[in-house]
Amino acid sequence: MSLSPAQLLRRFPRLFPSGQEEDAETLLRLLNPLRLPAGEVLIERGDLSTSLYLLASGELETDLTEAGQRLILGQVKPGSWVGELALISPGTAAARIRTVKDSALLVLSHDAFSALRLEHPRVASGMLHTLMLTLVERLRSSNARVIRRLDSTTLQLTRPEADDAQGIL
Amino acid sequence: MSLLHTLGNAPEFKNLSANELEGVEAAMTVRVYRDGHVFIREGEPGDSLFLIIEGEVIATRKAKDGSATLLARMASGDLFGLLALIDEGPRSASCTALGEVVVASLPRRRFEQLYNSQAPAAYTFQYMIARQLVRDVRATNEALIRQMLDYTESEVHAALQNVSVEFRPSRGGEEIGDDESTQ
Repeated sequence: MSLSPAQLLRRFPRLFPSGQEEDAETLLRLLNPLRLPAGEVLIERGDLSTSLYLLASGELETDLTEAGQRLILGQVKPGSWVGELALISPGTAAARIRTVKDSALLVLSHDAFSALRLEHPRVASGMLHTLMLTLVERLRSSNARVIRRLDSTTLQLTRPEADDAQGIL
Repeated sequence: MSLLHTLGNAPEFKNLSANELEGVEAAMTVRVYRDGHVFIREGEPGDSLFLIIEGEVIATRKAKDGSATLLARMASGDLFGLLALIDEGPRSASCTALGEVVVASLPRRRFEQLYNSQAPAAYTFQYMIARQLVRDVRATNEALIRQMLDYTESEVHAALQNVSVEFRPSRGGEEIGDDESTQ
């Protein structure tokens, strides 16, 4: 599958606050397509993670496995992405991410993003702004949940929310 | 230590010219604050970002019983007050000077001016904020994941207890019966 700049813009409008097709064209040049069948592990918990993965089609799931227990954190649907932490600052993946459907991804590495920041700072900055808003949202909800647990003396079941797929890698 | 020195120490600012660094410096206000000064009050609207130049600042949050929980202890080079600057929401924690501190503040208005000027320094500053956000998100993810895994463990424990409770009446009854018959 090869996406045109116009398609990239339509599929991931939040990444291009300017709304300009030209910006999508700039980013498209730095993206590497990746196709994975259902059931493949994209990133294992503990792996060094260095890229942002845009999901063009298919479905991803993030989960945690510990002592034989599997905890699903959330799903990633087309038009969304994982790996914003790694893109900004490569580090260890906090959870596992796998495909639950045959998936088409577009990969932006940290190095490619560094190049984008140098050569097209306005485009990089627009993207970064959206990613930062996601991180802030994530921090606010995580903080509230961690605190809720610190507050309560009895354990209370806080179900993982759907947005747990974002901001974890 | 000066603001320029603190900025210069951040890896993000390594590639900036002296002129560009001075642009950031000009947008910020540096002051010495006394021990106990409250920069940010939890729940209040916020419109400034802070950079610690010298000294320490603690971030705390109120628990239900009114006691404060220590979230972080921050030092030179650390940024705080980022969330409200980005999403204009309320402050998520209180930040208080621990001893005398030198802190540079950047009001949102000045940040936006810097940002809209499309100066390299503004982009660099934005990236510095993004990296701090990533560090914060990673730290809370850690805490949250630990909680989730702990919880899973206790959930499993509870489930196992339920299972044994469900099976206990009949088996327990038999055992009691057996015990009684043998006595």
